[in-house]
Amino acid sequence: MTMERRTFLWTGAILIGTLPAGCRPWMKRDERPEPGPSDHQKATLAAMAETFIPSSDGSPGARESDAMSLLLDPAYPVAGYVSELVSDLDDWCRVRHFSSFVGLSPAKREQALEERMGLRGRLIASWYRPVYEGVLALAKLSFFGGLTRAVGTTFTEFPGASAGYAPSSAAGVYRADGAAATVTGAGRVSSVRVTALGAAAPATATLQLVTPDGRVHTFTPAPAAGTTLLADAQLVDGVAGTTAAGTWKLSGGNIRAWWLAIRTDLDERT
Amino acid sequence: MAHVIVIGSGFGGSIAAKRFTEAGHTVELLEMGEDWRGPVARGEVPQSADPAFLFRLLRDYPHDYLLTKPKLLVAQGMGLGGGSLVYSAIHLRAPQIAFDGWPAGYTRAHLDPYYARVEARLRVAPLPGVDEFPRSRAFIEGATAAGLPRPAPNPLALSGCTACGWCVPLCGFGKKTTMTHTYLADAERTGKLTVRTRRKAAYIARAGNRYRVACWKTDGVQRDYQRVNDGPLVMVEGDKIVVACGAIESPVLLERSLAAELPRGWEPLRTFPTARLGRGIDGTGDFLQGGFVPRAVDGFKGSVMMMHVDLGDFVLEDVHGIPVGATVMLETRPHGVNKAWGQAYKERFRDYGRHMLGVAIIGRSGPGTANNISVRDKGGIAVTSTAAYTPPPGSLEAARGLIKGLGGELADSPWELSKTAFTVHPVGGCAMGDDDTTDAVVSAGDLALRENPGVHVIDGSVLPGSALRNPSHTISAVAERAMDVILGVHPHDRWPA
Repeated sequence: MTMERRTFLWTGAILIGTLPAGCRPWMKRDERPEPGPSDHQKATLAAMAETFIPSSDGSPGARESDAMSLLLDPAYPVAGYVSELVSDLDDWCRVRHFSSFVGLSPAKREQALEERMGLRGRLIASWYRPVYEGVLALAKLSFFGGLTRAVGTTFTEFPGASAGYAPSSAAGVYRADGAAATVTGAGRVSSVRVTALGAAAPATATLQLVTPDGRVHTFTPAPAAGTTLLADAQLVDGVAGTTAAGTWKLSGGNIRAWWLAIRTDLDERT
Repeated sequence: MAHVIVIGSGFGGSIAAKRFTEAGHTVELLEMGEDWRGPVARGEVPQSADPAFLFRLLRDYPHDYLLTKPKLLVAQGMGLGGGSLVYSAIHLRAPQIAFDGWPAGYTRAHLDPYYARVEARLRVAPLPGVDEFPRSRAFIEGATAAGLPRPAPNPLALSGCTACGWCVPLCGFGKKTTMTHTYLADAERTGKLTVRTRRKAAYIARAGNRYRVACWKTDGVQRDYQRVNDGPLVMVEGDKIVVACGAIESPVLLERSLAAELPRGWEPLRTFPTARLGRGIDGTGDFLQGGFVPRAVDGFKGSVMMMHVDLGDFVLEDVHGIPVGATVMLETRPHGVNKAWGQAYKERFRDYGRHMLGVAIIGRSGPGTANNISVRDKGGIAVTSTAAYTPPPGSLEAARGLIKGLGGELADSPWELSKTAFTVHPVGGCAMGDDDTTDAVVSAGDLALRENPGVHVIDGSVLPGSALRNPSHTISAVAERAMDVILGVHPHDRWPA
């Protein structure tokens, strides 16, 4: 085998250049798998999602819709940039607002995100802006898309997964006013689901749903850990056949807000 | 009898498969996506906004950032049945003015019998009780207040529909009369159809008097474009080829076929005119305008688009939308609001379903921007570009007038926010032409690829321009007419009479 002079010189130069690096262990590529996000990184992501879809007014937000399950899902590209994103945001917040992002007030968090996302001038926008946009898109997808929990779509009074509607049917989602929800439209109930928020992170509670004909249905939903979500589209048994229209009531469990999702016999598959 | 390879199973491919098999030929159908018949029959299809599910049904195309301004996103259906899986089931006939500049033989009068044939097979009819829906009533009143013509019901290929409004991902209740339910089912009943899903054609070549198609096996998922095109090639051989992959994939398949490095014994396709291959694609003027109106329109109820206002060069259609579509995909926000997040935004969307009215615009793209999209192959992937894209003249004003006529407040769309447009109705790319049109890719009539007898292109890519309406009906009618010519029902030498 012969080697041209130019190839020889290039090979030599590359060897001379890389040998010292190869002798130094701290310059070797780290082949170990990336560790998962730290607690701080998770807390920062959760705080970002909560700023995008807040629940500070007592209504459900990113926390209740479980945005974190999407943000940490490796199927979505954000998960691969958590480390860079949190470093970028924290660096900015420490210089500009004298605290890490999670240490800021809700108003300052909103301001910091507006700054890094270019809403307060392009010059101070982050190079990682697409990742910020990705966190926003996934937080909204979780809430408005109802992928993990239905509480976000219930909040927007979107009927959620349904087999269909007749125009006159009472089917749909109803927001309660205090203890009562007024349902209008025709049909007999084929299913009823209840979504409820408690005043604080709730323990298991027993709830009583009172139908328009006065019957009481008791049920015990499983609350979502770490949130105020007491019941997420919880199916209530034994209500089928009841006339849908009228006043429905819910009690028990220190409830702050609640919704009914009703389907009727008019809507079932034909 | 011939063995026919049909590449793609949308409107054109399904019609070709039915007609060839019913004429006694055997057909091998190659489809890039998945077969959803089993999951639908078993009730396993989610009516969901889950991207992981949607990516199995819709293929969007990367665009060439260096050549694309403004941003134009192009998406197409994917799966056995092609675009019929994800379309809104609307079958509007194209008006006569749409055919200006088309080859002889393509007028409304020529196509009317074929439109009627498709309507009969797909059992096309307006949704029962369409005027009763609050959204329909609002649409009619808004049009009246804006001085527009009265909206008419859309002819829909929905049979036994319960108007749940989840038509876009795929009707999980089997009520959408897709090509899978109809034309492909007819073809299967002959016993002469073989369906091969998860096959993406890499290139076509000649082998003596026959043709061969090399295919990639795909996983049916588009999230990782390279993975779709990975793996060894699978070969199939036939006497005839029908290219029916749609306006984006058909041109790049033919482009790849001319450039492919072929195995020993294979010959390339004969050279055909390529000046217009992958060029002159039109987005059918697709645009959206939304707004919040004071009255409850119950936007979730009813099929995706139930009515239309006919304004000649374009139509306005009432469009339903699931919240995630407006909030995440379209980034819709009330006019004047600078960010699409936060407490105020969330509160605004609280009444989204009851008070948001969407108006879809479909028709002739703005002056100088018609037939302005190009596509080219880049390592097995179709990459799109466009130099300009604007809505049909007067269409945004008409849509806004309709919303304002209801006392509504306009919502900003990606067009206002970042000059981003979106089309799901691309047509063109393998434009047909009369015999004396030297740069036409395919011949009018039998839609044969020039210089390559036995290879036909039967899909939306042959349309010379926008049909000015949802294009699937016109694609289907053109396909039926072409099959009449190919099978000798309408001899080619009598074309175009």
